[in-house]
Amino acid sequence: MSEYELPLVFFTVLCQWAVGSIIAMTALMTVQPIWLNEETRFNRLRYMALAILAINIVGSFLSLLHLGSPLGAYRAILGLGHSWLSREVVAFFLLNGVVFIWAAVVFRFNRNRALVKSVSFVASLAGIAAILVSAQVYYQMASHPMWHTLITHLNFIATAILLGFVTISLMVAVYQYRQHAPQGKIPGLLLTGILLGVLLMFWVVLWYSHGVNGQGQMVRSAIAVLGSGLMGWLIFGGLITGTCVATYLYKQSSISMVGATVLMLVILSAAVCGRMLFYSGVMSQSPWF
Amino acid sequence: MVRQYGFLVDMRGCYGCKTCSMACKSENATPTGVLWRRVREFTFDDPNGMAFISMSCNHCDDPQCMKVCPADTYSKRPDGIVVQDHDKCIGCRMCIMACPYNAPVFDPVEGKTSKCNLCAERLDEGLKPRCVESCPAGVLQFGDIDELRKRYSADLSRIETHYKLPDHNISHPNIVIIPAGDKE
Repeated sequence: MSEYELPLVFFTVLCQWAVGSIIAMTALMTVQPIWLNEETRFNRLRYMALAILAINIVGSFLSLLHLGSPLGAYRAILGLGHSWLSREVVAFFLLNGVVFIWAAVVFRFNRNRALVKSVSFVASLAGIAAILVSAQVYYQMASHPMWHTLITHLNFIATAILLGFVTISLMVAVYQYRQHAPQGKIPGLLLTGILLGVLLMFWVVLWYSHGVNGQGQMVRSAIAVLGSGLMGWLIFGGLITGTCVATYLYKQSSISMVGATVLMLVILSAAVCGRMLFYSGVMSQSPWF
Repeated sequence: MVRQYGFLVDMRGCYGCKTCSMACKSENATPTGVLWRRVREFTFDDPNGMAFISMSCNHCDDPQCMKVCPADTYSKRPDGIVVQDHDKCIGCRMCIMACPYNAPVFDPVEGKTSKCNLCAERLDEGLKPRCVESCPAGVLQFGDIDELRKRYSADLSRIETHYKLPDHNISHPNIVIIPAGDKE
């Protein structure tokens, strides 16, 4: 068994990134309607919507690489009555449909602002539901205390919020950098979203640390997670860099494309490391008996 | 009609020869690296000692493999045996992650998972499971789990703590273990 389950790492992180970005974009449309009304700004959103759709599709396809027999993937819905993995497959199939419609609406029907906002809201809710179904797959396994906890749901939501709000905040900052116009503030809701993502991720890290006081497999999982160098990158790249991005954008509301790309890659790689820890914390214990 | 088949493992007589594991492999012609029955070794310092537990699928009352399988590969027969429809397996390995006893085994060459079916075909012909038949020390026994439990009622919680076994409340395995230290 692979300790890190990389196809699942990239599947979950990419799809959660896409969902978080949709949520953050919906927040941006709500607090700054100018992004819907002004042509140049709305064009940014249109291309961002296509990028988000691509990320979600690529992430979903990567999940197939986890299967030993990918050609039989269609059989993964036969256990719908009892298996959360079957429900996850259906949920992400539907989510891809919803995100496709959302991207199409944002890209094509930009004159109808109310429709764009409504569809964005629905896509956000669908995304959150899909993430929670994903978390249930691991929560369902009662024999692994590190997964069989609501922290799994929190972990997945934290990843989505952190990545999504960082992405859209940086998009706004890069837009303002390129316009050379009098700069408006980055919406407080976006920066709050970044800090909320950092806070939730910090909660997850604290819970892992608390696992050392547990017993049995939980102690071994906690030691494996905390003793890994990946934890250092999760803390630096996710928690510290995330906080720095929110602080920087609060003070300075623009950033160059290069700067934004570097920061995004640092935070994205931290999220990937965090997810690798999520899998290795349990899988490195195999065989558990 | 048997309600539920199960195994009895008498650790007192097991000296770790692994004949059960090899007989299983031979009977089921499993691929390289795929063992449906494994013999776990335990060493102790105080006093110095060694013990073995031979274990395969425990055909649990609440099979976790069956619960998580997205392809509906697993089913429980009327006699309690958990069997896998191997053709339906897609190799997602969820059953491996979920089973507390590591019963399902993944074959990377075939890209599928398989596990012990308690030699269901042999049972249907009135024969014993191959591992039980082959054990030279009579360590492995098999039959109606209610009968086996009547014969020996061990405190599973105590055994789990001593040998760091998974909590039986997760899947309710159909196995009786007689610990190595117990008196004859």
